[in-house]
Amino acid sequence: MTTAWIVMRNDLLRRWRSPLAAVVYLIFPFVFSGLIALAFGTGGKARVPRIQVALVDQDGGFVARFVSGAFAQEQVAQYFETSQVTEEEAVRLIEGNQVSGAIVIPEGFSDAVLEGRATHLRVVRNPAQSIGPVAVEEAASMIALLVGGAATVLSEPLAELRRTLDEGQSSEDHFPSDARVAGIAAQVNRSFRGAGRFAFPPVIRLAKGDAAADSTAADSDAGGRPQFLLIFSFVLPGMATFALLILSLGFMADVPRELSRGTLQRQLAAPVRASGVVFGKMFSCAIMGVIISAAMALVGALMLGVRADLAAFVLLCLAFVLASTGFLTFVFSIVRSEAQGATLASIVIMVMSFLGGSWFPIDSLPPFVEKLAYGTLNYWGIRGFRTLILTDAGVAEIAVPLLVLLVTGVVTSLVGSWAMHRRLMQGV
Amino acid sequence: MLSVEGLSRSFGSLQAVRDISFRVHPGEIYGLLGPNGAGKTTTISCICGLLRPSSGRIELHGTDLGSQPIAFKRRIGVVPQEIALYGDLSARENLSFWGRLAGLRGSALQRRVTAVLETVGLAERSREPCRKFSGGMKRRLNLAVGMVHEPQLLLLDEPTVGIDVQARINILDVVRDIARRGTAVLYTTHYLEEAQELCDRIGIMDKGKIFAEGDLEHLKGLVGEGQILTLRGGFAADALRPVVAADDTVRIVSLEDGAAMLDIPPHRGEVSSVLSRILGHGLSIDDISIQEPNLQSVFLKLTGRELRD
Ligand SMILES: Nc1ncnc2c1ncn2[C@@H]1O[C@H](COP(=O)(O)OP(=O)(O)OP(=O)(O)O)[C@@H](O)[C@H]1O
Ligand SMILES: [Mg+2]
Repeated sequence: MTTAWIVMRNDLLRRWRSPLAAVVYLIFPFVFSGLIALAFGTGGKARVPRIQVALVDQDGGFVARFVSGAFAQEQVAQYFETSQVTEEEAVRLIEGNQVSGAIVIPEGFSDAVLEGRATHLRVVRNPAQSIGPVAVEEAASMIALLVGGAATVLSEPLAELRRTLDEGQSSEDHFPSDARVAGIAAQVNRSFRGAGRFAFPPVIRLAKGDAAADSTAADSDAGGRPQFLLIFSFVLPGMATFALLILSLGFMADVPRELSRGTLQRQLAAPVRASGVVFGKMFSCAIMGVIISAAMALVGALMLGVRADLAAFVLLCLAFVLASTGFLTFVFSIVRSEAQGATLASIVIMVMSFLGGSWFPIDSLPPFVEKLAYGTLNYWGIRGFRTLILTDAGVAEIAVPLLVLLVTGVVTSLVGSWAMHRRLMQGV
Repeated sequence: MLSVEGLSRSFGSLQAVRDISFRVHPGEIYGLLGPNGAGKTTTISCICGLLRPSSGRIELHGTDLGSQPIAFKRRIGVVPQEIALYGDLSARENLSFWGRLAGLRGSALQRRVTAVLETVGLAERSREPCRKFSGGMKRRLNLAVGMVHEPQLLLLDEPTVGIDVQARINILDVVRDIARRGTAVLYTTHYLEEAQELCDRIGIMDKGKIFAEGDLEHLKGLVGEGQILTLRGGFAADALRPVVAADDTVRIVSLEDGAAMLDIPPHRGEVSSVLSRILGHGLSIDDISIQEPNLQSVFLKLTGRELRD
């Protein structure tokens, strides 16, 4: 154990001296999640099944029609399929798991927007689904932003439009006069030029709720959080598991790297057991994994407001890091060179990440792939982390993924250290 | 005392080391002299426990490597042929790490680290990352790592390859000094001058075998008092051979078109009579050199090959 301790300290000291790699491991899950959230939120080209949305129009006004019209737009229709229903029907659809969520346009919505008063769009999430509801919220928030922004910029011409509409309703002919339209157009033009850099104060807030919870809650605590961050924190566990695997790759690749530089041989020529050296390498890898997890958790908590049960989170991190370290130790015990190891490990990690849902939600892949996912570390990690982040779960709720990872971790670590020991004793 | 008995090691069908035996006494510098691929590094790797011998026995003061590897390795220090250091760490950090692995702790470790830094002349640059060091400085640090824990046996595998004269002198001085204090040193090299200058005893190694062993005088005695005559010129090998063969005291060491090496007995006038006979046959010679017996000629005589840097 003393040997393992000495080797581990030395490895960490070396990392500390050239910290760039560690920083990359820390940053890239965030960058990737951000990119994905951006691509998803603004209509990237990803081919995903269309998301079913129930649209409840309790307003029936001009702006409400604009909202439902927005969903019919080609770019949006690519991702969403809407059905206009009543609120009761919407609840039924959600309970039947036929839609991912509902967007409720409350009564008086158009009036409020036209008059520049604050109002809200309500989103009801289907709690049985994972990414769909997030996407619905994202879409609703985009619409809210658009409508709100337009309302701010166009407040003057809107007021004019409103007068025109009111008058049109009261008079015989429903069309405003040409002079009025020309006047409105001129005002719109002026407003846009005056809007400068689109600094819209949000006029419309988004009110969210799960169907199971009180769906009339006007402002849930996450309501003020930009929806971008919701997708972000949804995608983050996938990226984080991928990053931790890559980190283990980077650390265990140190074995062939040190073999080619002769430093590992020199360690083995010292009066120590080879197992001590192997465990030292695995410890340093695991500790770095824990440090990176902690850093990611900290960033997640401080920047994204993600909350999770601390004990459960720590346990899950440890289990995942153990599994990932053991697994890559094994991979690097069966290769002859750093290049060979890096190639093999990258392929294995890519496949696991793909199947395990690090990049796509696995419910968007064919069902037989879902079965394969059980064989990946990513799947169990993501399942655990997502449960912790998106719900108020504790250790009990993540018992299954936690146990799977722990058992896998113990087994792969034992097998990995044994195989690595054998590899080093075979002569170097 | 290091005792190696009947050591062999194969890699597949290649026999890298074939049944070699030798001893190194405390305070002695034993040189393994051989060309590339002779099996020097393989021998060292077996002694430091990195390679399991195919057969043979290795003991240090009665401690058997096979049965007590940790106790054995505690008493040895290794300086590998390739520089094996952590470039991101400073000289001091490298030494502390390797010292700790060798069992040193606390103030004893710090004392030893400081001492070896002084010995190899790196005390002033001990806090820089050693990747910034020159080749010679790295070699010196590589050496320091092998002796930080004051081993009873120091294994040095070509420790002066590719460095300038100054650094080489420093390293040889350090090795001499450590032997003077009672450490047994096994030193491999393919530099004749180095072996001649430094080693108390030399084993001549080629193709996995030790052909001869002893101090310089003993080895020179093996070639007799003979001289090596080297000829270069516009002659054909087939033309020269019968001329030389006529005199059965002259031995052909090597012969090809335009170049010949002859082993001439030390009788008075022998060299000039051989030369005049060759010239008398109308063979054209451009260059002649005569060598007194030295390791080069010993090596040539024993292995039939020239030892080159
Ligand atoms: N790990 C290995 N696997 C296969 N063959 C090896 C291995 N190590 C050494 N050899 C072979 O064993 C022979 C002896 O090699 P060794 O490295 O001991 O020579 P050396 O005397 O140290 O040479 P040099 O002066 O070039 O360092 C060579 O033919 C080499 O190719
Ligand atoms: Mg060698």
